[in-house]
Amino acid sequence: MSEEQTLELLIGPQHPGSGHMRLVAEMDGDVILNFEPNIGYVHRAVEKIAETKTYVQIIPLVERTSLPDTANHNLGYVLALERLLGIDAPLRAQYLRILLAEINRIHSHLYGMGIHGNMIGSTTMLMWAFGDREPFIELAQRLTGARLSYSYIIPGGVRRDLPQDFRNDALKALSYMERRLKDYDRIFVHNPVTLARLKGVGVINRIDAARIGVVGPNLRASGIAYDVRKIEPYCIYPDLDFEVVVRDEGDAHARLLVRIGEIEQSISMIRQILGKIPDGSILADRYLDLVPSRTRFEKRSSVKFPALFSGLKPSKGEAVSRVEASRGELFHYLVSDGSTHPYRFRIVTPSFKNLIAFKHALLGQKLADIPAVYGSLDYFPPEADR
Amino acid sequence: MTRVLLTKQNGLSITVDASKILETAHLLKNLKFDHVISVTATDYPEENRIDVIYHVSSFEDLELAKTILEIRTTVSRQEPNIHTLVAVWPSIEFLERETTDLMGINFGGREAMARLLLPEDFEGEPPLRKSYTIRTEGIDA
Amino acid sequence: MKPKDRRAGKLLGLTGHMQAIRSGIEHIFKPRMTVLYPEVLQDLGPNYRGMLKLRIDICISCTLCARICPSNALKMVKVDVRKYPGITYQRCIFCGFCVDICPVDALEMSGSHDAACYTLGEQVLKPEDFSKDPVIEDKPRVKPLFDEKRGLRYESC
Repeated sequence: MSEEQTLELLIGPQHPGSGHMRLVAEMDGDVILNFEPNIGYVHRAVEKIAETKTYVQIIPLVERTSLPDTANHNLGYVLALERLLGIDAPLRAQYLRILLAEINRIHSHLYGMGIHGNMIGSTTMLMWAFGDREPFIELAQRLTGARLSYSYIIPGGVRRDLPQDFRNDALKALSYMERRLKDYDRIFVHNPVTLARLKGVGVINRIDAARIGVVGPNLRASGIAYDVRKIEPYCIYPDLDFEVVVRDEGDAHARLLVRIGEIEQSISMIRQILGKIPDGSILADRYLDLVPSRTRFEKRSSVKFPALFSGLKPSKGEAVSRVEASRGELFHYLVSDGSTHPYRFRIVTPSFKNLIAFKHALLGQKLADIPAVYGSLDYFPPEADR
Repeated sequence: MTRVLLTKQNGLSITVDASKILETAHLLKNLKFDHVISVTATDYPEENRIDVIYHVSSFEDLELAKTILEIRTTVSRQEPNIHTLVAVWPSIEFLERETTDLMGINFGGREAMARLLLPEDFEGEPPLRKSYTIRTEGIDA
Repeated sequence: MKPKDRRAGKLLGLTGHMQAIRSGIEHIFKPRMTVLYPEVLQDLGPNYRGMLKLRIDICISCTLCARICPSNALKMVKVDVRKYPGITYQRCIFCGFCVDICPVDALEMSGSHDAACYTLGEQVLKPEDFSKDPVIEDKPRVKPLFDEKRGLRYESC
């Protein structure tokens, strides 16, 4: 009789539903005893590259850590930079920032939901969610000029004003999305197959969630009402009326429902923003005054950068910022030595914080539950690797 | 010596000796600081030191969550050793491993782990140290 | 589980399946949000950050565009006695920082982003090539319009 032993099973890194990472599962038959994610396959050393770039050049760089969620990454970095520079954006610019951040949250959640659907075999959900991102990407493109890599938020303000007709177009896109959420509910979210695959699977209980430090919708699905937009509100979040979506189950289905709930909240927030966005300047006067008058008062609705932006020099010091990105709390820490480049730039992304959930949520689960749990965590490997 | 500072953004900053880090962590854990947001190491080659900075906060106490507490400590560049905090804060797991990879800090008291972000066979200067330089270009073609 | 509960569960499952199937069937007949690219091109609007063009006659060679370029795509190239920006599209990320920092508006962006090249060398433009209009293909174009029922619908323009 042969001796019984466990099997080390390698999943990935060639992307069969593992993402750009390798998962090492120790299996006893069909049951996972131990689970170790092995990442770094898309590590680009963003922190090191940032030390060779000027402060404004880093804006497109931080966006590359997470292309489905560029607005929030852009915003987090700029908030830290503004604290170093000691500058604030005018109110209208702050509204525009959050407008883009919430549009981005909707299409980022749709992205995650589509992939999740695909992972558990619902290709319809993949096609629908990716199709329905299009109106929001189109909205963002009209505002910023790019489909995903917006680079829209700059120190002291934003780059472009609201285009004409934006309000009407946005309201149409929002009512379309509300209608579609009902369709999603019937075909995917409460589909008996989805329920059977996700209910009670990959549970992270409340105590564990706080202990292992998961963030974002994954944390809120475990019953902790932690949302940076409420805890340490930035920009105009104190003026917006919204709820933190929380569920207590902590399983894969709860995480899906939290994201659906957040799309609904974002829809409501965008309506409020469009209703009460004030008139005014979109760039701080301190920078506006530096722009040559010839190009400053043009009819176009975009701002001109002052020449200073090619070599901003914040005073010596440190600044931290945290924002609620689509996947959770995003942390930036900047150290300036008074030169044009940061001395040290630290970025801790929500996916990197959520990585630890793999080690805990999958223990005792079946092999076939890996994609169901993976998708529910909305883990984005390039965001974790940076 | 231990110093407590109020930083600009209503945050608290504590400076402790590297040998006291475990005690400090236990103390803060009891004050309900239950998770680590970030571990940052900053290299200062001229002063032959690497600062290790922990940012911690709380999920359980949402009042406390409004604060990000900073714990600063210093190790030398030649012997960058510090005790691991993984037993106090399990959420520090991957943050410590990343810092080992990229800054060469040894977190003692935990089992040796394979490389996380860098290739398994990576050798040489840890890439985030200032002595590891990367090529930059000028503005002329 | 009691037999009665099991029957109720099955019934619930059946209704769920029926609803999902009905929802899917309804959508077979609805028009899609699709553009038949590359036969038909989507109009990218006036604000789109596409390929760039240099107006060499008004450029003052201040080098700000090359200094702010985050990806080293813009480089100052000597033409006769002065230096003007040239671009390599192997590197350009279309952030538009160069356009926004130009103090005399000598750089502008076009609504085109889908030029193709046979060689890598063709993607490196010297200032004189950089001053020509980017290639814009002569193909039927559609404009996306927002619609409450369909999300986006495309109208030829």
